Amino acid sequence: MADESTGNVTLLLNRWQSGEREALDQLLPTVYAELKRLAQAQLRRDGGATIQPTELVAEAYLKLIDVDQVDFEGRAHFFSIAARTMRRVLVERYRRREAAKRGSGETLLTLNSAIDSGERKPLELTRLDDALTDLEALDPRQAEIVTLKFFGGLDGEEIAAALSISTRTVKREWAMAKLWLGRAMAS
Amino acid sequence: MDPKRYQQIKRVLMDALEQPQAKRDEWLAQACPDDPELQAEVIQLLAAQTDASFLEHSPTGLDAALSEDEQDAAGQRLGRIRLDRLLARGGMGEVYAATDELLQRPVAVKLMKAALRMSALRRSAFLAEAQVLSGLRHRNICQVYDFFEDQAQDVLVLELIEGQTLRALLQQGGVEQPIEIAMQVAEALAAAHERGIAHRDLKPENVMLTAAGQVKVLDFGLARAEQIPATADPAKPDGDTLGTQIAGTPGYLAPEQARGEPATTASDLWSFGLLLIELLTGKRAFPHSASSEELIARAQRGEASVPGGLPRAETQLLRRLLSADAANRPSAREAREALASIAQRGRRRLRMALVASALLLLTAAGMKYTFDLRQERELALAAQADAEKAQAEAEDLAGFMLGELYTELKKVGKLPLLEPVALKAVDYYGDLRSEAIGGGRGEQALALIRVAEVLDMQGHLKEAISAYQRALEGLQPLAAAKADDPLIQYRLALAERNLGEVLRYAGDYSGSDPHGLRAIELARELTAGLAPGEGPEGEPSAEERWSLLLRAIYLYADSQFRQGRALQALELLDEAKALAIPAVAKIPGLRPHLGDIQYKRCMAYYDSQNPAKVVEACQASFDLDMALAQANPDDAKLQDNRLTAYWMLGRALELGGDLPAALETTRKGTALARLAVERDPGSAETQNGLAVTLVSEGRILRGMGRMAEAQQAFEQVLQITEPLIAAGRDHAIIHNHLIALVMLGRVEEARPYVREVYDSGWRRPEFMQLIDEFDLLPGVERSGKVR
Repeated sequence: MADESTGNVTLLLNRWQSGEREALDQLLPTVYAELKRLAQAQLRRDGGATIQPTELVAEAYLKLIDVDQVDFEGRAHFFSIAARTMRRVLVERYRRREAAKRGSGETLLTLNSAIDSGERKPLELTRLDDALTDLEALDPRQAEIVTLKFFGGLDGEEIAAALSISTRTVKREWAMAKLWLGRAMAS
Repeated sequence: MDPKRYQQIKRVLMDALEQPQAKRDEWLAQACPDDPELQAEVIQLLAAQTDASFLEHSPTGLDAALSEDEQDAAGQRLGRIRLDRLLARGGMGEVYAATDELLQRPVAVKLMKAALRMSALRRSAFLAEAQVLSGLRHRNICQVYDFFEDQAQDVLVLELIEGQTLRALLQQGGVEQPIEIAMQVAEALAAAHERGIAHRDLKPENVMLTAAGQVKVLDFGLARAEQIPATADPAKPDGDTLGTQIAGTPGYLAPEQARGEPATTASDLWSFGLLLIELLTGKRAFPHSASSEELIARAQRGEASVPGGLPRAETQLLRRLLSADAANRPSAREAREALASIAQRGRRRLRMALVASALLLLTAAGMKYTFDLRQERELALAAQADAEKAQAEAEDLAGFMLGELYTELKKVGKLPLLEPVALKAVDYYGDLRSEAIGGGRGEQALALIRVAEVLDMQGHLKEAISAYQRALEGLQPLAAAKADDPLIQYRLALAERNLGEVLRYAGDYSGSDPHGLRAIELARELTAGLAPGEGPEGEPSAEERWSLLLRAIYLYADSQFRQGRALQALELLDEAKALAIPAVAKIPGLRPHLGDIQYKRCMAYYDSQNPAKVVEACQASFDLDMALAQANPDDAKLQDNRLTAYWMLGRALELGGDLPAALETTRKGTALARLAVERDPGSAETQNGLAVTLVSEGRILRGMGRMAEAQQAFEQVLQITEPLIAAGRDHAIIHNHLIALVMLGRVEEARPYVREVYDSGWRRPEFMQLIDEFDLLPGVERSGKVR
């Protein structure tokens, strides 16, 4: 079974890489489901300790892809799909959680949440998502770089490979995208 | 913006980023000299660089966000506990609504995650505290029922509380009675502290308010169970962690906690200070955006500033609570007492305004009565010391109060200095039998009346009422036995009248009216057969008799008026006016009574919506008030009456249909009210005076169709009434507040106030009309009857 789905995902990935756009439509739900499942498994295992999306994406890759059949570029492509999926997963969850927080108004017992509340001010994922969507319209490549790095946990070289650009370009685009998004989210 | 423009910006910006920081501006100036907009855009973007960590870390909300899909444990059993539904989930574990099946009671169950379980040492300390806490039943503390271990998780069984956290309430726009809430929190702390238990993590998230307004403090002592690492250097957010671990929440840590020292009960008082700031101002003492490193560093330095603009008593309390040195902070009980006196001040302020403004005039005019304040204090303190020495001396004390001290202090408006004496005296009289109070010709009872007056003025309404009641108990049998002794009858009438007045002031009209009627009856007997202003030789004097009668009628009429019975009030007031005019001719000291009567007549005609009579009545009242003010430049009350005179005349003119004249008159009143507020900004009464005239102005403007100006006026009203309501409640203030809310279209916010005022028995037609017009109390129509 596992082999079958692994082979399937690998096949889809390769087909997409060679230009079959529909292959992506079939690929995405599988990646989405796998990421979600992995995240939950990891949470249970660690009793709620922090998990990194990067690790999740890497784990999903190993689970879903027959490594021997995919080259470095293919790997990068998978990661870029996973990163976009991750963005969707996270933003959706965040939205739902925020909505639940405001709406309910029913009994609410506080948990002593010193651990979360004291940390760095949490990034507002929905605002980032909105800003990122705006950026997509202006400069799709910059938006993609941000998605890969922030949601997919890819490093500069991996991003460069996935997008077939130089690492120097990745660095420069990243620097500007950060400024742009920073300003957009501050306003 | 279009992609093309973005690419232009991108080219310049990316090159700019490669330049050394110091040379960027210079470089930019020559990079795009002919496109200043582009240049500005790039400069702005470069300035957007703030937090170095921005986007460099993976999203932190991930675990919490994803964990929502985790299975919850609802339906499971832990021993005799059945978990019913998940209430909350957070970093530390989960909270369930559950049922204790053995005791058949609802409980809350907190499951602590295995990963966060306590070390053996902390655990034993926590267990010891849980034991003490479970034995501590306090209405303001969330009760701990049980604590046990089940399959590698810690289970805490707690009282189930239905309500909202203060954090939630603060986020929804603040709380209605901050002082009351703070007092209950302080009571919870006091109860725990007196058993040696510190909370260690007091913050708005840990305080709940039930629908009934009861405060419940949660998670006592739990902070011990969790820890957060502190970084040593605030400049290095990712630097080495400090060797020590800190328990608590960064924004609420006391300095000693932030330094890694163990939290004590005094640490809770610091956190309580920060909580109080939030309750009073609606804002966090430290900005929410500050990082935990920054917050901890601030706390380590003992930095917490008391926000400006708070009343003096609050500021003083906050300063003490936020002492960097734990030893200088008050105990929870002391803090509670300080809050209790603040709560009373809200009520007291109104009554004290008169005295306060008299005092102010006194000093401002540099009059000959330059009393040495310190000397007076010593007098009062000495009196207090006397009282403490022995209760046997209390009789002397009463004499002392009746005599010089009371008279002298009243003259200069320093009766509050008698407060401690009065409280002692009440203790004394509390032990005295009624016969003793009613001895002689009621001297003791009269002393008690004086005591009650001081208590009343100081806002101790309950104590004042009970003191008057004691006086009455003593005087009634005495008066019955000596029905022909006018002095005893007079004293009895005084007690009845004053008790009626305090009850009316406290909003208990049905309790007040019988006393008011009895006072009128007694006063009529004391003036029976006498021409107005005349009286026999001896005590009580003619002035005392007529003053008693006029005031008694006035007060009772006012009570009728407030209950919506304007016509009955008018009947009484017309009678009083007929008596007062000839009486004043003989005793000029009675003129202020006539002023009050005329004023109330004007109001009653207004409430009976009689446009034919109202302008005349109000003009008469206005003329008299102006004359009185001019003749008595040093009488603060008479000076203040001018304000209400302008205001009421304005309303009368409005009712009479002359809106331009109404607006002009009302605006004169507003100007005067502003002056009064400038003179005495701390007084609730002057503030409310301004609110009243602004409400009028707003309504007249509205009637003239000048909506924008009207709205401005109502917004100003809210600015005044909001803090006043927070400090204490008086129906007149709430009334102004709710009118402004309704006029600004904020009907939903007004509803609870409308209900409160309506339930107290307030039935002024204006109020009832408002209810009708905006359907503020579904089911109630103008007549005040339930449909």
